[in-house]
Order: sequence, then structure tokens, then C-alpha cells
Amino acid sequence: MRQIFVGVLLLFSTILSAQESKTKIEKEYRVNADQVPQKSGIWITEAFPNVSKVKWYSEETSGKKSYEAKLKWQGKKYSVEFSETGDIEDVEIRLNWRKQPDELRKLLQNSFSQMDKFKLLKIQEQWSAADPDVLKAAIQQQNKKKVNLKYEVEFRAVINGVHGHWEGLFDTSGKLLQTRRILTRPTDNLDF
Amino acid sequence: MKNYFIFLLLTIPMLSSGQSRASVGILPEVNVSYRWAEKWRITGQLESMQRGWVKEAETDLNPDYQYMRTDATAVLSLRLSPFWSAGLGYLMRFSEGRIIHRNLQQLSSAHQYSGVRLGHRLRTDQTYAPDESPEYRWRYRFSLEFPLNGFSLNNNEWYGKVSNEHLASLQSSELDWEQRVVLMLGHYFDLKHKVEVGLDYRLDRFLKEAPRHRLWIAISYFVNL
Repeated sequence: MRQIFVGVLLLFSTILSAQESKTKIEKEYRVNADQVPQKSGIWITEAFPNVSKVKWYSEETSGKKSYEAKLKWQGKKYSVEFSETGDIEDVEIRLNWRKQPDELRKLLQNSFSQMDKFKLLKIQEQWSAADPDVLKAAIQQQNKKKVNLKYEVEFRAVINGVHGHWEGLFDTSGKLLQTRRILTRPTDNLDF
Repeated sequence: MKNYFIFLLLTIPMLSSGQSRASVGILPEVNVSYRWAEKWRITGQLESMQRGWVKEAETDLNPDYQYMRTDATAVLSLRLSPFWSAGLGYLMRFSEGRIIHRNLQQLSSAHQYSGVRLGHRLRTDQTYAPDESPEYRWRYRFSLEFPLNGFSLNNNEWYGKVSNEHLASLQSSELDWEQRVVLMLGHYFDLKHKVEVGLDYRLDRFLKEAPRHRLWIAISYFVNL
């Protein structure tokens, strides 16, 4: 019994080490606040005064590194993206679709209705600005007029014949600017 | 995750006490899937159950190796939406010189939320063994999969998986109930390969007699062609 068990473990450890060397590294992982560029940390504390808890993540995709801060401030959930050097890229704010103004819902709904089997899964505002101080002031004043505003929407729908899980970027007129398919990992270990 | 470890540690003493019967062994499994035309998937699964220790009523847990069975399963599944699939399958079991047949039907879903993936599976199966009445089972399994680092699972990362399944069975008008708790540590290599190692605890036959506990050291390898 013991020999069989040890044999099976050895087999899997061999497969594991063989696979390690073949795959491309693409990772996001949790990091401590002292592991991110100092100016990213300063920007967060200035943009979100008295924020209590910030979770930091580092992302590495095909050699490109970036940082993301996730936090809750004044009842809203924020994701803040920074470059590898710590420069602010954009701020995403989670929205409750049902609480959005009718005008916005109608504009986006017009685009949504162009897609078959559309189902909204998640919607966020994406705020960006050329000047980091303008973005900071907009957050504190909750003033969207000063920023470049877009809507990042996660949904499922049929696009080009594929019934899939997608992420789309919409402008304030409801126009779909770009889509990206979210590849779901195989579900075999949950199905069987 | 820590709570499930504690739960499993607490269940282990039950394996060696009282009137209950228990067994401990290994359960290696290989699962190979092939997907085509976006919607269709065929999955082949080979699983072998081997007992290493056994405890009968009023005895201790003693070493006693026994090959129990090998199951070969094939399931054809159709993706109904990005998150839901329906499947039909057939299992052939080789056990103690007998061949047992089982048909299965299932509906499953996997939803990704920030940080975790939730899976639901509803399954019915019908088992036909020589010289036995057919057995009918109704099963529901809930699974939770979560990365051990960060909020999404990427290549070459570790993850945890916890699942709980309830099974009701009916054979010759006899009703039984089984519960399973599985705690796995997985390594996700890439879209094509992953491996899971952990514990699979099963409790059954407790409705009318002393319960039977079974604890398997499970090792599962998943391949997507």
C-alpha cells in the first residue's frame, strides 16, 4: 500500500516539475504595501483620505508588470490600477445597475440589446485623467465631469456566434468601444 | 479552509471508535476531456479505489490492503450557456470479478466570482449489477474553488477546493443517504493540465445501522486536450 502511494506521489511530482518549465509565466499575486512603488501608496492615501484597508496586488503579464489596489471607501468598492513605476492609470468603481439613472440605463441597454442572449454580470465606472491630481480631486468631490468616463461591463452574450463570457468597454453615449472574451478555465474538476 | 481541516481531523477519531465501520485507502483518478465546436465536450475518467486499512464493528482500525474496484466513465456534455452544462454518461465498474453498469445524467454550473469559483452539480444515476436490484441515486454537490494567492487563479498557481455532496439512494425499496466532504489542494499548470491531492470523506448507511466511514486519500489529474 505504502509503495503504491509513494509511487503515485512520485509520478505526480515528476509531471509537476516537467510542466513548470513549459508554461509562460502570467501571474497576479497579493503583495504588501511596502512592496509597491511609494508614489502609488501616497496617491491612494491622498485620493482616499482615512481609507481603512487597502489590498495590493502585483500583476505580471508577458513581462509587463503593474499594480492594483482594491479598497472600500465611503460605501463604494474601488480598484485602482498603477503602472510598474507607480503612475496612476485608472480608477474603477463598482456600480449597482439597478440604482443607476434611467438615462444611463437606457443608453447602455440600447447597446446591450444588440447582442443575443445578453446578461449583465458586473458593471464598473472607469475614471481616468491625464493629470493625476485632477483624478484625485474628482474622486474626493465625486465629480465625474472632470474625468474621462467609461463603463467597463462584464456580461455573457453571443458575439460572432460565440455564446461566451465577455468584458466590454462602453463610452457615455452607450457605444461599445471594445470587447474582450474572458476565457473561463476548464470546469472539469467541478463537473466530475 | 482551516475549518475544514479541523472538521476532517475531528472525523478521523470516529473511524476508530464504537460500532461504526470504517476504511481508509487511496483513490487515484485521471480525467481527460476534449472539447469541440465550443459547445460539446467528451470526458473520460478512470478511477481506482484501493483500501489500506479497515475497521469492523468492535475492532480497531487495522492494516488490510484490498483492491476494491476500477471505474471507467465517459460523459458527453453540452454547454447550455457560458456557465451551465448538461451531460449524459456511462460508467463501467470492475469490482471483485464482476462488471457493473451505471447510466448517469447531470446538470452542472461553474460561476466565477471575485476570488472564488462556485460549482453546482445535480446528478442522477442508475446502477445495474449482476444478481442485484437496480440502484437509483439522486445527488447534489456544491464545490468551492479558490486561489491560494491573489484573487484569480493563473498558470502555475496553487488553489484549494472544498466540496460537499449529498446522495440519496433507493434499492429494493430501501432508502439510504450518503454524505461526502472533499478537501483538495490543487496545482493549476495551465488550461490543459491540473492536479489535485487531498482527502475524500464519505459517510453512509447511518439511517438503519451503525454508520460506515470511508476516508480516501484522493489524487486526481485533469487533462484537457
